[in-house]
Amino acid sequence: MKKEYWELFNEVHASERLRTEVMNMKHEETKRIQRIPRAMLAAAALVFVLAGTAVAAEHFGWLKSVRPVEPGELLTDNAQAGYQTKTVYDKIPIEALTPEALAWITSVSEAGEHAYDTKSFDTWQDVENFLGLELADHALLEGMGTKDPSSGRGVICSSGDCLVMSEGMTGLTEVLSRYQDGEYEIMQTALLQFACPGQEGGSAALTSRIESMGGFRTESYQTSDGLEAVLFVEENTVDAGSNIYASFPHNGTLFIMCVKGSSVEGAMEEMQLILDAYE
Amino acid sequence: MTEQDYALAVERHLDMVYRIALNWFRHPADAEDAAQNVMLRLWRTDTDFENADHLRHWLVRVTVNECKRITMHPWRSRTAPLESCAEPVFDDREKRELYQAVMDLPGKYRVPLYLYYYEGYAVREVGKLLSLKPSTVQTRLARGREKLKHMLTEE
Repeated sequence: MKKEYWELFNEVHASERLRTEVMNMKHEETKRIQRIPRAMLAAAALVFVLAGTAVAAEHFGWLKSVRPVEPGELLTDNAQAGYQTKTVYDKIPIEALTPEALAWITSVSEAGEHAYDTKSFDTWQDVENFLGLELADHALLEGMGTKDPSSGRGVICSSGDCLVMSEGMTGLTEVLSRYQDGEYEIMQTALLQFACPGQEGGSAALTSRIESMGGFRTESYQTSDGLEAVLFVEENTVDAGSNIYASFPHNGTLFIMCVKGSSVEGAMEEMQLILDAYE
Repeated sequence: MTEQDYALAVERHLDMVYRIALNWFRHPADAEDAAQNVMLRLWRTDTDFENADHLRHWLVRVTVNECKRITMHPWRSRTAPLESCAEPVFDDREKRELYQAVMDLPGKYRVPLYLYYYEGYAVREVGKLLSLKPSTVQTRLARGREKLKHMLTEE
């Protein structure tokens, strides 16, 4: 078996295109963005980056510029730019965490540049109890079925490791949860950034980057309770669906919500229902 | 890292990085994305590599962590395999069947099998690289082998 296995993978090689791309990266790091022709074929990917300030472009070599997104804007350029949504929010004081959460996050941070760890919980409430933070009270989402029951509904990952934030930017913790509501797949992500003692900067901002020319357009949405979200609308993905992303600050946390459905109208309706239900 | 060192590292290790990622994701497109990120990390790192083994070990660790990171980001999960990122092609029918069987294995078996069988890491080393107990690695290797044999016999 070992011989056959070895011979098998001995015939598996990285493509020449990949080899060329990674070689070019040393001349110009933004070369990696030039993979757009391939990305055009893929489902568009919206990558969110937490940036300490508006100087994200300096931190991330692959962003040539960062500019605010205007509602109604069509984002179909060549992805050389980052788009800063207007979601500046206060960092969470590290002292607000429970001792258990603080110890865990500290241990991950101290484990080195590539440290990464995850914790799984059954409910969003369990996550909040672990952290000692009130992130979101959302009866509608909690009443939905989980997308992947085996992995639990609320998952925490703490990382000093994300490629997009590894350049001296640490202290990011993400809380992810997935739900299924009929045909709609829903993902809720809370991005937490902590203000550590002695660290400069008490606020964080979200910078997003469009990785494809798949045709995002942006909208703004405001709930009756005053929650203001920037929506990214992606139609006709490769798997023939539509995705609506929403980013908004809530309870001192940055939320990214994604609703996937077969039609953009349906997904938008579902997204608005969910946003309206944030308490 | 000098340009020359980087070029040499790409030449020697890109295939390994890609194969680990391919075993992780199964999809060449995702594997390429991960491999590109790993090599970007290599280019940017200040790590002073003591020798070739240190570099190789670093790359395996970073690749595994990068695969974990990508997996955790839900907007990645909808990326579909692309025609421009073709699956590996094998002329030999037995190899095609073995590849299919390997890729049909649950993910937790694929990467340990690759590191053990192809890269030649010992069980203890595989455990360290994947943050698993040696006994867990041993079990996964044994079960992975069993499942592979079973699948190949069925065919």
